[in-house]
Amino acid sequence: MEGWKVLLVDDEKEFVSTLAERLRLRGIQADETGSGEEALRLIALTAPQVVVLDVMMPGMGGLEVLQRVKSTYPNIEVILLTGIGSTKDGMEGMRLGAFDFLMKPLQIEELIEKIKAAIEKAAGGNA
Amino acid sequence: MNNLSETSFMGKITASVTHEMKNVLAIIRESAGLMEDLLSLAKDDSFPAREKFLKIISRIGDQVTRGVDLANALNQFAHGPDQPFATVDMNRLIDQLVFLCQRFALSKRLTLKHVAHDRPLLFRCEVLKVQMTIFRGIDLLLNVADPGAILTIRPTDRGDDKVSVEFSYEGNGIELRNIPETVKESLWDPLVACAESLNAKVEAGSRPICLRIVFTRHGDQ
Repeated sequence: MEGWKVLLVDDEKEFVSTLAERLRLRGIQADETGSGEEALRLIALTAPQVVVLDVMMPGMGGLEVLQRVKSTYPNIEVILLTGIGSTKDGMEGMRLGAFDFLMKPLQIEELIEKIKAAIEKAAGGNA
Repeated sequence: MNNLSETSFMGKITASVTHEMKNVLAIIRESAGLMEDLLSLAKDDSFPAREKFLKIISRIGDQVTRGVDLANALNQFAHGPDQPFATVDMNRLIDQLVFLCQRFALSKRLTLKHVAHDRPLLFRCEVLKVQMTIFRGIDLLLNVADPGAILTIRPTDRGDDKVSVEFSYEGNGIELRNIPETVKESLWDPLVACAESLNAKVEAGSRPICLRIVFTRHGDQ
């Protein structure tokens, strides 16, 4: 997991900071932010391989962030986080170019598997 | 939110709160996970209460899973009024209702079970009214069965345009054909009225199958 660069975006600050810390303990470079607008700024600065993005955020929502990311940085893979009963949002996200989606609360092992697969896809299967 | 019915209003607020509950559960799960991660990094002998902490963390994980299951079921239930008429799988509908009614059964020291039909039972109906009718059936049996009884709900395909939901119980209790007038007025009559509003029929039988509600499918399956 060394060399993996991930940006976590979720307005639930305690959630995103704890999740980022858990990923860092596993050797993943994980940055975090609580808003879609700030996420776009950080992506331009840090060029993560994968963005883990909550769909339901105040201000710029996850699906809008996803569209902007995919139109500017098509090689960055996006994993969406959805709530319950939000499979529709996840499917819509996939249509808009998301790599995959997970429901909250998530299992960290499952997230890491998805990040791994997304990085492999971004690298053309050579990660 | 114009033209909201009372049920839609309740559903909308409840569904929104279940989303928040999941956020709370997500923070609890990640916090417990972080504690577990930190413990796994510490040397075995550097933290004397390590085993006890691991057990507590595991218990937190189990309760988060339980909370997620409840929030999921409540969320689906709350979305019931979104579409008054919808095609549902009767197996799933009863499964969800039985899950949400476990507290009522526990408080009367009864066991409430659902035995699903062997294939999906697609059924176009007024979802909320069907749930309410089945709930009234559950409520009736919870009040006539003695503590310790096992109540089973089993939907079956009648092979025509009908789906039957059978209620049975093992254990002691009052026969539905001999229910006291007070129970009849407070539980039986409202069940029948609820069913009749859906053109469904309620039949009282002899145990083990003591109650049967026969729903008629609407078109457009």
